[in-house]
Amino acid sequence: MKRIYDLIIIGAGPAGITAAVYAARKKIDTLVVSKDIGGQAALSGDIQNYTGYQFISGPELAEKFEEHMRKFNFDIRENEGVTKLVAKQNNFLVKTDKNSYRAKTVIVASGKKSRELGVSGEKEFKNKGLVYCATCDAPLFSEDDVAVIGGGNSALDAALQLMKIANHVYIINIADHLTGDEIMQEKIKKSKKVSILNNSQVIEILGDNFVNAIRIEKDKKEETLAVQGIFVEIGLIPNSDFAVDLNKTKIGEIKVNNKNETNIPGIFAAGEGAKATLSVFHYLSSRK
Amino acid sequence: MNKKVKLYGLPTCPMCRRAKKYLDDEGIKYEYLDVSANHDFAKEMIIKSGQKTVPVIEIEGEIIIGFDKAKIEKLLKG
Repeated sequence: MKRIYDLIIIGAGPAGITAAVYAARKKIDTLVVSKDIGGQAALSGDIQNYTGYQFISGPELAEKFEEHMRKFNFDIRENEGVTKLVAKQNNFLVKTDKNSYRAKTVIVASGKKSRELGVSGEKEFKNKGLVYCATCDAPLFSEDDVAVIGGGNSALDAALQLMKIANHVYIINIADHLTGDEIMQEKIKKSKKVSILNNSQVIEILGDNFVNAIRIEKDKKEETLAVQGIFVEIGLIPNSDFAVDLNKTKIGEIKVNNKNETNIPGIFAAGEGAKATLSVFHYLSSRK
Repeated sequence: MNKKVKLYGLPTCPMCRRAKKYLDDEGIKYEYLDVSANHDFAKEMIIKSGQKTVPVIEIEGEIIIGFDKAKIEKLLKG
């Protein structure tokens, strides 16, 4: 018969890894299943708001997480995306794009993914000049003219990385002012390389084999900017499609109570891992 | 037989670091090409892969886009 874990943790970002470390210390028989390790944190450029580190890069912080996690002896399946989570015979079945696993409890810590623009040309030019991860690919656009879409922290983080290397950076922001942290805004506003276009919306991505322009509407007038790179940083949406039976908000966030319990007993969800594992521990104790 | 392996990457990219670590841990010899250090490496990678993201791994002329462990293993063994 197939092994039944005490706990499967879906996701290995900060929440999933924290949950796993707590689980290991409680000696809960745990499997971690994740597409990647480090999650969105690994994709951040400079992190200056993680207590204990005045400065650390996203990839380095992710490596620290992984090092910490691998100190403990539990199973990790990396490069596997979860496609389905369902209740089966008093336990839970977690299906991935490669395997399936069973457990008595599940913590969903699958985090979020980049929101897409939903405009013409976006799918066609993805990875062909259109990028969702500035940390990953920004240096490929040195000396290019580029556009960053968005006005929040992620967009400003991307703009800060790009203004060091690109020829010119346009920030295309739908709102009437930037919303990212002041400390980042100050640096960006000082740079002669950056143009901030507020009240602006993307209409279309243009190019041949690779991106060569972006069409926008600013103050109800259309204009086309010649750019070789487009960085989409317009926020994140939850990775929760696979959890069909869980109660969610309109935008797909999983609803939990103050113990991280979802509407299904035995399934927990977390953006903060420690608390979810403690709830799993109490739940498993009560089941025995 | 040792296969010829090239890794096109960037120092900042998390998946490039993972790919490097994987190849190192497996004891696979490879040539690392930092595409931010040399424009020609970047051009070569873009032409070979037809796209503009890293990492790109080349094993005996076959191209893998991204860090895909299963594909790497398959090409190394095949």
